[in-house]
Amino acid sequence: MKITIWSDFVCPFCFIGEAHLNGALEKFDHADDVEIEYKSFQLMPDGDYMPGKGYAETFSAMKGLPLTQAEAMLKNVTESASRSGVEINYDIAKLANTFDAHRVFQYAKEQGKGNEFFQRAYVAHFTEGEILSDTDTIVRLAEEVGLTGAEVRSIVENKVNAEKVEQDISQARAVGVQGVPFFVIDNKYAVSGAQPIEAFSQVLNQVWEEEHAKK
Amino acid sequence: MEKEIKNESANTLQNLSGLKLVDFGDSTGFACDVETGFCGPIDQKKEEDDK
Repeated sequence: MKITIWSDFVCPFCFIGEAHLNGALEKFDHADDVEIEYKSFQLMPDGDYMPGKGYAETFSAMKGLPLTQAEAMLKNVTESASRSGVEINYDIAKLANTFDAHRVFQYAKEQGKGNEFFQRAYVAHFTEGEILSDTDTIVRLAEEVGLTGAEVRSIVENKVNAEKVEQDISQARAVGVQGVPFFVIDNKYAVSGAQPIEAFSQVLNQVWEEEHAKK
Repeated sequence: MEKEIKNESANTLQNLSGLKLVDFGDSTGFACDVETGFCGPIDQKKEEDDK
């Protein structure tokens, strides 16, 4: 069974949804037969790191929202994450453009380290307050999952893999993705959003049964 | 698959550019809107209307 996930490192419900999917996979009898592939998506392509400004302040300025509304949105997300056992620290998190990190993710994927890089980037952004648009940070995170720093730096500096990121995003739009995370199972069934663990369990079991009833 | 889901929990599957979108009924889940970047409960009705 293959699960394809469109996601962005700065998408909180992608981080939460991944935790729910992992929770479902822990209970799934055939988890060893499940392959997970991430695809790039940029939730906030206009996002940019604003030194000295907090997350809510940056989000508020970027989206033209009152600060109180941005703060309320982040509070709701943080509470939702907490209920799922996911640590989101918006007090230290830095909103940043993720395009360079996605280009490196595409390289990581080629090297068989795509999923590890995606998970490392989630934690770096939401839990540790790392700046995902910063080249040195991206190189360090990539090295932590076993990639060669010099190669990663070259990819960032030479704008390599931009077309692969764009291709993933175009594919999402062609499929009709309206929200992320977006999960596609065996290229047939789609699950939109961070669903509860039980919902993921239901889908996994039903797809598995359907696929194996055919054989 | 479609019949199984409908029978078991009144959920439905809907065609989404060749994919079947699994609808979890009352459990709508949470997502971030790809157009606005805003995050919150999924607006199931909007997803259906937009198709």
